[in-house]
Amino acid sequence: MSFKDLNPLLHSQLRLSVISYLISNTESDFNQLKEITDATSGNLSVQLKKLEEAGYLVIKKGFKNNYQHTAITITKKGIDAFEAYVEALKGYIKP
Amino acid sequence: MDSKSLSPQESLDLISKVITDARNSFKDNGIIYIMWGILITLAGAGQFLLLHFEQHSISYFPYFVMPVGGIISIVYYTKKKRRGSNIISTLVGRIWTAVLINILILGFVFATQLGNSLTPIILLLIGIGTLASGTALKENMLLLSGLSINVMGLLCFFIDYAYHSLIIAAAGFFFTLIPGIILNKKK
Repeated sequence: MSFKDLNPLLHSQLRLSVISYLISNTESDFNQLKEITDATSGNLSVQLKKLEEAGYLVIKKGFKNNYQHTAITITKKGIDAFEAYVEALKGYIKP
Repeated sequence: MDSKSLSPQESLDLISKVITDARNSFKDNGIIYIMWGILITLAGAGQFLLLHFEQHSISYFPYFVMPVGGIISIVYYTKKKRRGSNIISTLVGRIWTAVLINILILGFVFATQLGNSLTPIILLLIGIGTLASGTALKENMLLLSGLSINVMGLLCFFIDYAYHSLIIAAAGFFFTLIPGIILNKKK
């Protein structure tokens, strides 16, 4: 069975977890996403970069309370992509 | 967690789990219900005792603990927000901010105009807030507590004013403090 209608960018465990979390949260940061997804920093960075390049996320690096802080927010394009992905999933799940 | 591909069912399960976890991360707030349960119970019981001993002029004094509760809640939720917020936490936070501000304005500014209707209106506001929280958090116990407070508020219209404060204390004890303790144990 092939899942060609499913957005390949979202159809991966880590990237889907990140987007799902950002859908239900108004904002997040790198450490929080790392904790939630249980991913390594390197892997998470790579996957976040892919989502950012697709325009699904905005990653802002800066400082918070004198510590380095990476804020991550989902974009309208990311929300639309997630909704389209869920709609496509329904097609596979429905009998 | 790696970046492996998933079956559609695994994808749905994953989305559901992440979103449920996000909702549950806000559920550990039994402590704030415990605090409000204690404050409402003490304020209601305090007023009842003052009225019983005919201290009418200072009978509203116990309600000065409410702004204190408000400040503690703001500090608590501000700290919690630093760890990340979601749509549910924002919604619940805003509902309770609106409820509290309205109760303070009604209680301290319009008490004279509202007279015997003040208690039922306050209970209705608390009831609606609890009901909305229960719905957002998918917590049936809060839903039931909200409905009960709402009904108690409506019943107040038929009960002598002398017992209104006792009803507030009962609502605080049974439908805020006890659910708070249960929520806290469940986390």
